[in-house]
Amino acid sequence: MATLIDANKVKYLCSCKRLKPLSYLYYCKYCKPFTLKCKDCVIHEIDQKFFCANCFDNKVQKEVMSVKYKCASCFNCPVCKNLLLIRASSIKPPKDGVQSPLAVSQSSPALVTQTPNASSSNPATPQQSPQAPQQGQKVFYLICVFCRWTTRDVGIPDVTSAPGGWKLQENPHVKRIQELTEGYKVIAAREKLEKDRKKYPNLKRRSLYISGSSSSSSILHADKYGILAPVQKRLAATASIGNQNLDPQITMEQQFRSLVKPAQTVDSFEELPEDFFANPPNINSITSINQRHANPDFQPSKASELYPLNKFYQSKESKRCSGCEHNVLKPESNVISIKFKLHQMALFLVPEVRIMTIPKWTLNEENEVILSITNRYESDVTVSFVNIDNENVLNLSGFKPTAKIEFKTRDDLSIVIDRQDNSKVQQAQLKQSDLETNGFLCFRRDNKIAVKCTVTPFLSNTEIKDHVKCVFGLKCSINMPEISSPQVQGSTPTTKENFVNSVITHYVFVDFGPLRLEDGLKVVPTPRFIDDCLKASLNK
Amino acid sequence: MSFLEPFGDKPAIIIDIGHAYTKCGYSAEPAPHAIIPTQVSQKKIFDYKNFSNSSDTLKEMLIEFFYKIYYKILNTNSKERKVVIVESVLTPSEFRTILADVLFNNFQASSVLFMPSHMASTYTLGINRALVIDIGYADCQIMPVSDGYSLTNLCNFVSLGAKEIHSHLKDMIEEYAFVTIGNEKVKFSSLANKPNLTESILEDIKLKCCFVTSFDRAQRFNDEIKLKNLQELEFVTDCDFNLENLILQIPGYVREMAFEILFRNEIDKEQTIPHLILETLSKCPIDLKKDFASNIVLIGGGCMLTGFKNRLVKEINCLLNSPHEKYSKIFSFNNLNYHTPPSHENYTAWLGASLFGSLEILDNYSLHNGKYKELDRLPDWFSINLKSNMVQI
Amino acid sequence: MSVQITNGALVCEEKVELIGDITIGARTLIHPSVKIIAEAGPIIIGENNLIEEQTIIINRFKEGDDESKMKVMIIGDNNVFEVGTYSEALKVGDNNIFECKSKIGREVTISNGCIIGAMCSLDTNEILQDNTIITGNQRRIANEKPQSQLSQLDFLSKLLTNFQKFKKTNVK
Repeated sequence: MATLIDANKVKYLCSCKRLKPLSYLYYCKYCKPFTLKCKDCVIHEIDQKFFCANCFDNKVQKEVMSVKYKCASCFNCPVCKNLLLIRASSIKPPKDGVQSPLAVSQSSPALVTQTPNASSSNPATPQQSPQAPQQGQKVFYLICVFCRWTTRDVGIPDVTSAPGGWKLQENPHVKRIQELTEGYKVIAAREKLEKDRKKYPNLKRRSLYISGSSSSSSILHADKYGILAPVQKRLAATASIGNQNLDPQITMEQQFRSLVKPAQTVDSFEELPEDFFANPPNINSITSINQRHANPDFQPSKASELYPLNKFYQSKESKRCSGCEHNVLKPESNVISIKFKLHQMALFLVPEVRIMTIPKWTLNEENEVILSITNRYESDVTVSFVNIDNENVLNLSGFKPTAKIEFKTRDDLSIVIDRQDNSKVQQAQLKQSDLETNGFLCFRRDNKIAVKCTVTPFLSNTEIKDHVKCVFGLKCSINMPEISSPQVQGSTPTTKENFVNSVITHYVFVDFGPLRLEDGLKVVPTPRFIDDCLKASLNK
Repeated sequence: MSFLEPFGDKPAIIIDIGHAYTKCGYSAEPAPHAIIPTQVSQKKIFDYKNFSNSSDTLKEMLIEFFYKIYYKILNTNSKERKVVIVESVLTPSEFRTILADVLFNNFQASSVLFMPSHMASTYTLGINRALVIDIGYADCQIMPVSDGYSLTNLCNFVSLGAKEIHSHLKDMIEEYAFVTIGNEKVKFSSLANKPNLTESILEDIKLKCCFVTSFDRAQRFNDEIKLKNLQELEFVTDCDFNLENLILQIPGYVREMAFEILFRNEIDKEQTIPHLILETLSKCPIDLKKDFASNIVLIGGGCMLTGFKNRLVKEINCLLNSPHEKYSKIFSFNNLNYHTPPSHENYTAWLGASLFGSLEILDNYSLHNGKYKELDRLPDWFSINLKSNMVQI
Repeated sequence: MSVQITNGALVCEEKVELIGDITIGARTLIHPSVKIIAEAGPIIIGENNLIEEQTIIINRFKEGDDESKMKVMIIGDNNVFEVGTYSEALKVGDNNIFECKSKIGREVTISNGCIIGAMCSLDTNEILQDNTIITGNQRRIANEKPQSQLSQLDFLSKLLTNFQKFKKTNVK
């Protein structure tokens, strides 16, 4: 899990000079040589298909916009933001007139599972009736299974058909805002027209011409394919607004006032009620700031005013390389699928470095550390280690090493890491060639190796709380299928894949944590299996 | 391409970056889509000067923050989108420069309009002259707005916002709050390992326990406090607040008097909100004074505190009518008129920008991507001509 | 023999530890590997309670308590202790639900109809109001008590008889 959870310990240099954990990186196979791309240097694209993550109802952007990105049938709890479930209960006949007719049998609540289509097409679902629910009829309410909030808590009436049927809250100011918008629109259009007229004196006549005599307009004739329709609509709208309101006698102010009622002012605000001071407070009935902000239109301040929150429509996101605009990540368009069409995670190409041991650090001395390297690529990878003194790399990335890492081995040593092969169970065993590295390579199993290196922290005593950080180069040589440029690929489909060997050096930045091990941090000793592996190999 | 898009298919993105909370949504909507804390991985963006880590520079934080707004909250492609940023005129230019850089270069916004928050709020009312009082997180700003111009030379601000309230509340809790351990009542500050009063806890206490007390009560307490002990005064009942495994008993004194710093200042009498409002008003040009006095707009989350608006009005009226204060001589009126925008106070400025962002003339006032790259810098907002016929209503 | 199991109560044999002076009411169901320990006074458990696996109910002295004063722990009726609950509370009323891994301190008084959410710990000195719901770090007061778990209890008591041995009841 270190790949995901302790991801910030080992970082790689992205092509945009940022340091990112390997699990946050993508690669582009069209940009040579296989540049790494991080979240901040790819182009994100929202898929045009929006869906509700609960009922998988999907809509295109225009439809989603008209419902303000809110799913009408799925709700979140306004208290804890978990999903609200629909619960059905049948109405009990009133007992001796004491119990209210809405009292329901609590003993057998059936959970209506929200499957995408089943519930809406379920013939058993009673149709919504305008009258109050009949005896024996099923009614539905919403409940949060986490905090047990129900719509009954705030007096929202049960509905007789599920799902949906819950009344949406409407912003009380909508009318006034619409009025204002209309007013501003007219004035804005007029302003635009006046400005345009100054620029092009003929525009007014021309735009009138289009809207007035549509059939003879030359633009319309040219528009066989309807691509200009939106333009025409816009021009027509502008023209008509401008047309009816272009009387120069009327000033803008008059025009605006004729459309918008003037805003009312007050000279005092409501007093706090007297019993507010007298009664002890009930802090559980006051909402928290997050509960208020979850519903920006209403921002309920009392728990009794909470209302179910509509779930928002979401969309999948694909990512493109910023250099060549090829996709590096593309999800499948089916909303239910969680698979990818294209999934170029750097994790699948670049060997992953992890810290295996953390010694008790001694300043300015060589400390032995074991790093493991895992190959997740589909074929074998040859790696070698490069000691870096290159100031350029450090300057670019803004990384300040506090230690020097050294790989005490031949400069030309390269190690092959096998690809993952699930078909056979491999023993932890060093190969003959590995033994010749004098214990530099100390472990090998499947697609994973471990190497010994030395780290020399060069911090001063005052910086003793600082982290031990160092950088090295990991030179990888891999066989990649040759990518021909898209045009060529389209014209001459090749049946045989050509493999090209490519060599890339990745810069790996390792943070071993604080120099002084405090606050529960411990020395991580060499694991037993490394010794076992060495012994086994030597005995052989 | 955008030329062929049907009008209104791509609403502009409206973002109001406040010091504590960011309001974001689409233009022409009556309320923001979401109100989120202005934070990146639990760090306040506006504290950017305090972070030394290379990944916490303002630019990196803003990239992360806008990525969240665009792709996680608004579900929108950032490319070729119009953006309206609502900002205070007091935003440091360093912040604006980096913000523009991020929006234009990293997110490829087609155009950006920086809209002063005070001016934006006047659009929600259809008025062109107003004295806008913004009580936010970092400070309280009082700005006269006239005909599309924020009259910055008359602007007044004082660091009386939620931040100040929180730190004041913290001091009060340390001094006056109790916890019960066993059968003993212990002062909170004397606890050995007391829980840390983080800003979010303080905010919760502020919302749930405290309120702005009424003018009459405040007057009485302020007179009596000098003469009597705290225990003898009849404050509201105490209130229990669950803090981890403790029950924090918040005395009525704290509940009622936590917000008094907004109205009383022992050291400098003038540094309170009512004083500053009248002070600003008195400096306004004589021909605009009456207009401003009858068009007060209260915005910012601070105005949503229980009882705040009522108290503020009473305080101002008291100052205006008191023969001991200079204001009764300066002004001919004895009360001010307040607007009630069609929104909650904390997103009034956002709503104004949303209205403006839905208009066709947005393009004329925005800074376009091409222009920005040509200039290679952001024109200061003083030099952008926002004067339009629009605002001459 | 200080453990008194009323007729109709089902107490599994397997790994159940009942130590001290304990009374278990009728139709109360105790699952395997439950610990009920009465160190600092007797424990009285009412009727129709459901006590699930790995629940620990202890009546014990707190540090600094006067060890000569015994206190009775009373648990009312119709309570549910879900898997892994740890409770030291001296007074538990009726119709409460303790969700998985919740932890209750000795000085808390649980009244009626309360729900303590999963993993919530409560170690204050307070009396919970009726129908309090604690989840995460939020609390609220519900309008009505939680739904009763009687049907679950009926179902389990039928099912468990096929698979579990029960301790003998000794009180009528």
